[in-house]
Amino acid sequence: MRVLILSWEYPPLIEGGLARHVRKLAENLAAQDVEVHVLARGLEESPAEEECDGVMVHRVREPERPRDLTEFVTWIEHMNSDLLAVGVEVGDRYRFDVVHGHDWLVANASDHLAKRFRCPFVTTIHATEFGRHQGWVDKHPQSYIHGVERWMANRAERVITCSAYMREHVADIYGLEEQRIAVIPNGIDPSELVPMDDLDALRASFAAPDERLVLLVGRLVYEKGFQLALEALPGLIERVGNVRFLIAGSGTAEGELRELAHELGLDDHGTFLGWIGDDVLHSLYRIADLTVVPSIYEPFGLVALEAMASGCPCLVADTGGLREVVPNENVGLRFHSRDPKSLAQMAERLLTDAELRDRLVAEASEHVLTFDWADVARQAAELYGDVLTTSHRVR
Amino acid sequence: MSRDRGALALMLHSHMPYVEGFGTWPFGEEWLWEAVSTVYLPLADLLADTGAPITVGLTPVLCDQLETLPGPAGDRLLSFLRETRRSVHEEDSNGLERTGQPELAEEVRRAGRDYENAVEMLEGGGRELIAALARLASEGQTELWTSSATHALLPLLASDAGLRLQLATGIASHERRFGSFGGGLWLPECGYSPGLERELADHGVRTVCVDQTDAHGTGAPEHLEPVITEAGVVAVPIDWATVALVWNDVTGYPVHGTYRDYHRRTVHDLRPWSNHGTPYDPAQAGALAREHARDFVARCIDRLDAHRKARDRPGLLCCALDTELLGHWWYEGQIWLRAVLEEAPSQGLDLVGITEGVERVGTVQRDLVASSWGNPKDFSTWDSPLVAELAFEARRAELRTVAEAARVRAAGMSALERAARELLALQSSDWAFQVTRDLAADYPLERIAGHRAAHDAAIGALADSGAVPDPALRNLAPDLDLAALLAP
Repeated sequence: MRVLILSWEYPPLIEGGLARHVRKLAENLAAQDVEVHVLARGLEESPAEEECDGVMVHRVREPERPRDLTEFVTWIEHMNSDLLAVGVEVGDRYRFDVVHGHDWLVANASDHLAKRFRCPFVTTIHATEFGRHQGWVDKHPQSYIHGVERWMANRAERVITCSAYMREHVADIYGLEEQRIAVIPNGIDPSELVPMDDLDALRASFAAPDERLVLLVGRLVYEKGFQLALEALPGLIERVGNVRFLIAGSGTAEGELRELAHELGLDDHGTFLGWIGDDVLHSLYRIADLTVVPSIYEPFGLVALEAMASGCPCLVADTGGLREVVPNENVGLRFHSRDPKSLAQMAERLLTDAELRDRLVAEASEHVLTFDWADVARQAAELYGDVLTTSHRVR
Repeated sequence: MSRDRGALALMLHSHMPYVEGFGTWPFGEEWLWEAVSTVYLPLADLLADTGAPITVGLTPVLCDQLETLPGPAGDRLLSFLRETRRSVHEEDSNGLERTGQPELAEEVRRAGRDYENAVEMLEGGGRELIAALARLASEGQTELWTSSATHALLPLLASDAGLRLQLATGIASHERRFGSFGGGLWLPECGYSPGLERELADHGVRTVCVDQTDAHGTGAPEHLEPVITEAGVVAVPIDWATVALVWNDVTGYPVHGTYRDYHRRTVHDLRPWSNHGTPYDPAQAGALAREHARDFVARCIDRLDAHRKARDRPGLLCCALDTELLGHWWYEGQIWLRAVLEEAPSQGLDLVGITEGVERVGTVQRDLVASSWGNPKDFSTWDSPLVAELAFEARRAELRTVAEAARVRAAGMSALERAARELLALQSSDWAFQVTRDLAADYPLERIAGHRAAHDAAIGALADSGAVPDPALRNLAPDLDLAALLAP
């Protein structure tokens, strides 16, 4: 079995969570005797072709990506032409059994290559434009992206989503039969969540020993719901006292969130850290007393999983994939989605009950083992095998 | 001079617009029952017996219908044969007997056995015709080609999305039924216009047939040279000088006096006369068909040798025929075909599947002109003033479907599916052909009106969230590739 995986990011080029996901998937597939080639965008200094940890990586170089979304769409089209050209060349040297594309960003190249290789096209839909914009996809460029996603979902022999919630969502908005969609969760490797050496010093730089640290991690965009957490904070501080927040991440809503914090009188009660590296992030989970994931739209909820794997209690919105990552009250708590009052109540319960926190952390450390990458890769390999036997698009 | 003269490739184009369940007689599914009984079942036998490397084009819409034979449609076919066919042969032979024409009566009784044989074949597994064809391809030398979903004249389609819908749907059904797609696609009516090859290449098409008679003149060596296009698709010219030996309605083999007359009919449309006007003599006709087979093989060799002399390289002589000619319109056609297969090796003529033929003789680069295999060899059979209304209807429906697809939400998917199937039904090139040739009275116009109304209803359901229609349209395009319409 030989698979060609396409992604718009792959380490060392990292834009968001996709790069890590694709690398872990690829390496774990390779460990299970699937020959994996990855076709992705590379950094200026990356070699065009190299073997990394059992995976053949083929890279294209692209100009820096534009921030303007309309220009971004054009840029993506160019990137797909370049991926296609390299993919054609690679396909002349290797015979692929499956083409697996990640998200709409590589849909065009994946489609063409699968047709050219006469092999099935599998796509993972990590998130949808419809979900990111709460259904507002009537105008360009959202309408275009939504259109590509819908076509890609209908075109692919098999669609993978990371949660049952996403399966239903994808089936619903693209009009797919649910049996064409497989749920394979994202994985986590606790051994990679390596903190920095001096955690005490790090904690001391954000909070006094008697202060409680509430951590929020993610891109600063509307659908992550950080505004809900900020709204909950004044009441929480009033009732529990000594609470400080840490917001790690950057994004388009950063200005609005800072302004909101200021209006809520939170200037002296927390810190906006901006974008931070992995080592700092993994350390923050260790020094925080609580991680809150208040998302409005959340296909999966990797932040909650990372918190649980790092021994930090977590409180998540009762929505989307978070319900599957935090399936019960033994591993984490859930608040009513979009409700700051409920968020504040649950946070208070957690911050004031050390026994509860210890119990959650202990249970959660077991629970995260079910998101083992080797298992995720085994499920993907099974799906490849299955689509090969049922698809007619084979040689 | 090249020692290899090249080879003959026979291409049998098999097609029927979707008639299963749409009327019975004089126009409707009895066309299909006739074709299955007198053409497709005997042909499957012939291919299995001879193991000959013949290329058989099967349009997806024909297969859509053949696929229904194991079910109720096959029951209707059997009762057509056991009841209708049996009783009309009895009635007409009795009538001819009574009116003192015993030779004609005897011939009617003999011809009735053709249908009894069909009953036997159907009872002996013949209803699984698709499976039998698939076996011929996987175990034998038959090369199966597909076509666009419903035999739309591709150059007349209004949009890229409409073209993709026809190609992707057709190829998907071929892959499901026959396990894989080898890259051969019959362009409906050999309809080609420059640029078409790009979309074809995108869908995995590697080989098509074209008719370039008007560009080079009948008999030119160019017709024996496969052309490689820039997109990589190989266009194999059909050689009209060879096709016309069979096809020409004034000089072709089938009009010879000894063969059975297709046009003169008894009360119940049976045909016991020869073209001479005398009672039909099957033994004489069979002997003549074998003689014509020898003539055909000799002329093919002449064509190949003339090409070799002009070019000093082997040629690929591609003779494409409507499969239904062999057994239906030309009653002796399959006797002739069997004889050609026997005769070819003894005269030194190699027979190849088209793909093998292209590999053997190679390709040339040459500009191709827009053309069809119609008469005249442009698109006027399907877009002249006489049928402009039909062409316009089909384009209008296509553009509406494409426009609706761009904004359809999940709730509208089944309505869109139905609209797409009605569109495919409208796009069959047959309706315009039947009107231009005045072959089936009002039937094509009624079919067009019916599909247009159903298409309007489905599009209407999208617009006003009305009652959602059943996405299915009998068994037309079960492998509908809606994604082709959704591509942004």
